[in-house]
Amino acid sequence: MGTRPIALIGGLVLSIAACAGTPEAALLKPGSTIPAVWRDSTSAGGGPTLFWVFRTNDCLTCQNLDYQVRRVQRRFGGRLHFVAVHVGSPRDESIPRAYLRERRVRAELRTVSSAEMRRVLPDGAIPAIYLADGALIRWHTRLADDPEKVALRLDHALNELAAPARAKAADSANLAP
Amino acid sequence: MYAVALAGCSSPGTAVERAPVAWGEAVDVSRRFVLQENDEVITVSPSVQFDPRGGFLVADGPEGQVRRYGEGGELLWKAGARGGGPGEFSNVQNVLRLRSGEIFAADFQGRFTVFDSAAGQVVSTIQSPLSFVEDLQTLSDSTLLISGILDGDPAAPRLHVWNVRNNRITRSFFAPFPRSRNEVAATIAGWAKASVRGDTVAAIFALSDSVHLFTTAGKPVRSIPLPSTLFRRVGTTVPSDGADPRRRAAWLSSFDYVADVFWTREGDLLVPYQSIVPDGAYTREWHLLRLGRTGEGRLEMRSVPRLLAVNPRTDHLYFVAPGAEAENEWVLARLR
Repeated sequence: MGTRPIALIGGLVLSIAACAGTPEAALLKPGSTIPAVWRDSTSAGGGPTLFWVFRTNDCLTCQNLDYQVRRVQRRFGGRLHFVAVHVGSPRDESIPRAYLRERRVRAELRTVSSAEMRRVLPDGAIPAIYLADGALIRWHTRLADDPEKVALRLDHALNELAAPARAKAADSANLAP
Repeated sequence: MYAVALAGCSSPGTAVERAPVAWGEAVDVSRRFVLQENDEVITVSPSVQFDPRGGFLVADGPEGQVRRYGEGGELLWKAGARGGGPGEFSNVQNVLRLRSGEIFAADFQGRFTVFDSAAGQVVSTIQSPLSFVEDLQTLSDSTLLISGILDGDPAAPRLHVWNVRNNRITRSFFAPFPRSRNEVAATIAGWAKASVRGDTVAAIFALSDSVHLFTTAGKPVRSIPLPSTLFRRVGTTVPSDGADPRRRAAWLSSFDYVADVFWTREGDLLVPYQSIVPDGAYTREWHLLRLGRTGEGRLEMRSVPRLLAVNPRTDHLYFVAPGAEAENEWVLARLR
């Protein structure tokens, strides 16, 4: 009752800040190295990590990938390290913190400025989920991708990455979306 | 189908405001319990209805699930997932049990799904002409009251009598949007909710500071101003730089929103309203008003847990538990 997040909202009336004029980086893809601005967040042992990348404004609309992250957290729990990469200003960090709490996602929160992020990831590719194994990205999806296929592919990729008996030398190409 | 003009319905001056009362002074909590969770079920944002067969029915929009719980929070049944296929939801808003025993769930986009309550299988899927669907209430054996925007027109009536036998709207009423002070705000926070008691419907609109009473036939009875000096009405301005999250949050937190309405057994009205916390992800702070049917203020509580449901037969109130980290911890309570 009365639960609809107030802005379903943001998307209805307020436009996301454009990044016109800024050269955009190529999309990170399987085989790419994890961006340096995320790297501090990689789990100490270099194990499998899920990076959930979103902007401050994505916390204020329903357009996000929290459902997939929550689902993965339930299924894989401690076998994955979860990092929420908040693209925005540190002064707005209370917003993603509240969002993670309300959406029941437990993840390390790392804030990266929009300018820093634009060097490694185009704005149009966010929100997104990246799976990494050690220093390499192994799989990714964007909000814009077909949601019905995302869950299946994400689970397949996670099974490859997070299964205890996974083959160490798995070919990243096999995990491409 | 006809719209109801609300002009002239209000009876200003009848409201009697009272000083806010603390939670501990007004509420007796008898039981705290947790909704059962497992690898497939987690409670994120529940909308709650009483199940006539006992326990609760919950729609959880972010999870795309509908569930049935026992009185103690034990998970008895679940159906649905996020998606666009049969039995899936983009954002399920509410759920109730039909008199036939089947479970009727409404998606925000106006797609209704009927489940077999035993096996959880999809019986039928109906695409209605509604969108922004927010609330469901049972009116009769064959009719439901559904709130939503008809044919994409925000100015049209928001409450619709839905015939479950032929899947058609038979009547619509309550058109608050044209009278709103701020159309942008009323578009953003554009929900309508209703509660049915006998032959009377109590309806609220998020930005209207009144409760509007109708007959179940949709005839306006009167409007009751909220007896609160603390409820902040929306202004007429809109921020020029709405893309800035801080400015947007500051604006959205500058006024209050009526969240819902419930009848008590005696015919009083319980009206939760909410404020937006500026530094949160639209985190809400909840307040609760109790008013008599003629509009007199009986109680106001500020910064209380969210009121989820009221049992009109027993006057038991179900709140999110005070201090709970998530909305899966509830308390059963009564007003003193």
